Amino acid sequence: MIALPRRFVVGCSAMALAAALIANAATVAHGPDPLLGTTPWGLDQVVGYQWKSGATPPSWMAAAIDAGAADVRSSKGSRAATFIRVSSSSSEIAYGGAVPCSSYGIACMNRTGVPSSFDGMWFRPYGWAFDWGTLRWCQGQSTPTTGCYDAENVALDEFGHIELLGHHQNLEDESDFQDAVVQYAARSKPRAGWDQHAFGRCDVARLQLEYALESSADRVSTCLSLATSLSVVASATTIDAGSSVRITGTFKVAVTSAAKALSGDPLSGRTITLQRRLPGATSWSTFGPLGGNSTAGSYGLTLTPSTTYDYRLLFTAPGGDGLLGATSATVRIAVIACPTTPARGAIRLSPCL
Amino acid sequence: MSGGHRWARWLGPPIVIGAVALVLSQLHAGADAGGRTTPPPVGACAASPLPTDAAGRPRPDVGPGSWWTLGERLDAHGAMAGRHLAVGRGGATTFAMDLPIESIASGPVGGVVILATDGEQRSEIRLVSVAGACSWLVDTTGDVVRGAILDPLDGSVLAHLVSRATRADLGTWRFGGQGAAAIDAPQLVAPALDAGLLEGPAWVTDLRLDSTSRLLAVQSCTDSGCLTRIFDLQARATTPAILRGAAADVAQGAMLGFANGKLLTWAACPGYPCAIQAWDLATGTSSIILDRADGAAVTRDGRFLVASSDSRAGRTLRLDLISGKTVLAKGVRAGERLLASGVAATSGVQLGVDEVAIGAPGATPHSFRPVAAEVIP
Repeated sequence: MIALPRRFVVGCSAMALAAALIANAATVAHGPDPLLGTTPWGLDQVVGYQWKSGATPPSWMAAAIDAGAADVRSSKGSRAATFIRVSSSSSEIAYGGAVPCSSYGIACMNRTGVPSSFDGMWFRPYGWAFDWGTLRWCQGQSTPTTGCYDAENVALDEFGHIELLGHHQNLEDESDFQDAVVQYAARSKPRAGWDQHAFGRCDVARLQLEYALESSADRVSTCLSLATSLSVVASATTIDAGSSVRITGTFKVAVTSAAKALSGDPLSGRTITLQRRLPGATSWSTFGPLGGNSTAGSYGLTLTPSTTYDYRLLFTAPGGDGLLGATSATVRIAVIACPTTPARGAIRLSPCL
Repeated sequence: MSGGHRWARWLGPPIVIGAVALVLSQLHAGADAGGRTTPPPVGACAASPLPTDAAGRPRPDVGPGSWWTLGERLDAHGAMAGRHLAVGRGGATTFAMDLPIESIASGPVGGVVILATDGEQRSEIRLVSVAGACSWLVDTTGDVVRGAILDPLDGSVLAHLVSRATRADLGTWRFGGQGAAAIDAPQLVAPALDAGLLEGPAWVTDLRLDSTSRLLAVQSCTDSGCLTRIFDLQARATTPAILRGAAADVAQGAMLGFANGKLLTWAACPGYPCAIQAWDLATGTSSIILDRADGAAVTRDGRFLVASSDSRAGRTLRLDLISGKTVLAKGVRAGERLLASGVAATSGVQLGVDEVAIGAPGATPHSFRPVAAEVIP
């Protein structure tokens, strides 16, 4: 169900609510959506739903709800559950009838039953009367009029709740409203975000925290700023001049409790740069980027250094990825300059043997 | 508030008779739910159907088991075309009728359903007799009646009105009344909510009386949460207490009812499971008394909160609000839901002070007495 945190900022209640449904909800403004409940779906779980007998939505509403389910699949950015309409399911969606939503809600859901199923999702019918007037669903109109509510957007919000998403905590001026579809109050046409049909980045952030990335190469939501870990290993630390050495880096989300399901997960597809400096120097120069290895989160570069250098790897946080930059430890690769043609009788010492 | 005047206690003026006839012409036999097969004829009650004692005081205990359901009538496009009221007692449907879209029901009290309907020009407040299959017009108003409950102390109806032109809150008014308590003109009992207390339009306004009919809770909700004003109807000069959350995560949800100096409400949740709050009427502070439920109701005597932790499985908790003891209780079957009252309610059943209402989709609602429930060890 969908509305307004700051409408209640002044009040006389001093409720000591910590618990319950907003577990771990010490959410600062513009962070990931808070949690709703504690029980997640399984990773990549496919959840079927059917229309509730006697409360089947009209075709325009059915299409909007199904589209909302498709929006989940296309925008979840994580291994969160997907929802698809099937012929028979204990998870039911109803249009009208005995809607158990709060009296002020235009839609609501009950996620009791997760992870086997969800108890239900309900939408009030077109024309339902509120104090302010009559509910109009945009999809029920040939030309959506000002003040109508987008049923696909509202369905996406409800599916977000069923995933595990609580209402996003907006900034005071709501300038970040479109960072989340899962909001206290849906916006009616034509306010910004009224027809948003993809999870916002702070919805996705919470889904990623709870359900991990679909692929190690996927970008992390920019609603997050996760610490990363970058390690470096050289195939040898002492080589002959002219020999090659392979430098391998492993890039991961840092192991922290805040990163939740992402903690320690490998990160592929990022730009990891090799830097080097002469021993004793203070400044680093960029040698070049590492290529991706077949193992997730692994990068490598083979080089043939001519002299001894200290090496390190660098990840510079780009825009569009909710990661913090990282620098690896330093590894020194000593290059032994050996005579091209050793003198007869000279004792050859390793590594020039 | 405009237009309302008391004219219909005895169906006097011809215009009233015409209006009543228009509504009652829609009355027709409802589907039988068992038992009676031929509903009695329906029409205008000759007098207020609210039963009274020798002193003229309402008798809310008459007609136990009376119930109503209020469904939607959708057109071929899926839009609301109106509503459909069915009324009965026990397993039998007494009668049913189609109503306009903006119709609400409450009660029953004393075997009488309180019904408010809105036409294009006026709203009507009626008392519908379940046993008598007739209705009594309490009053009409040019404004829109959004909610109506019976005051069992004097048989009057407390109704929340909004402006027909602007939908602005016009406050809560008292209509009708029995015997010596009857009033000739509607009386304002709770003014409109001050503009600005809610930052946004009110979506619903709900009314609830405590068991003594002294305290009236008027809850105004936006689309994200509510605030409640508590009016002392016997000390009308007193400023109402205001109950509201101090922050988004403690925002107030829909009302459940009064209990022992507190008002129980849902938290402002996006759905279920949801926490249940208790608001201290004296201090305005609140606390969580149950962290998750998907259905709940409180007995009118304030003794028990009955809550479903999983209504599909019939898992029901009984909280003794006096002792604080919580037990698992039998008596609510899998698939049955504890029924909410209020403007969005779709069914109701007459309850004793120690009962709550439960119902399943497609079935008539019935009462549940938690004190007598078998406890699961």
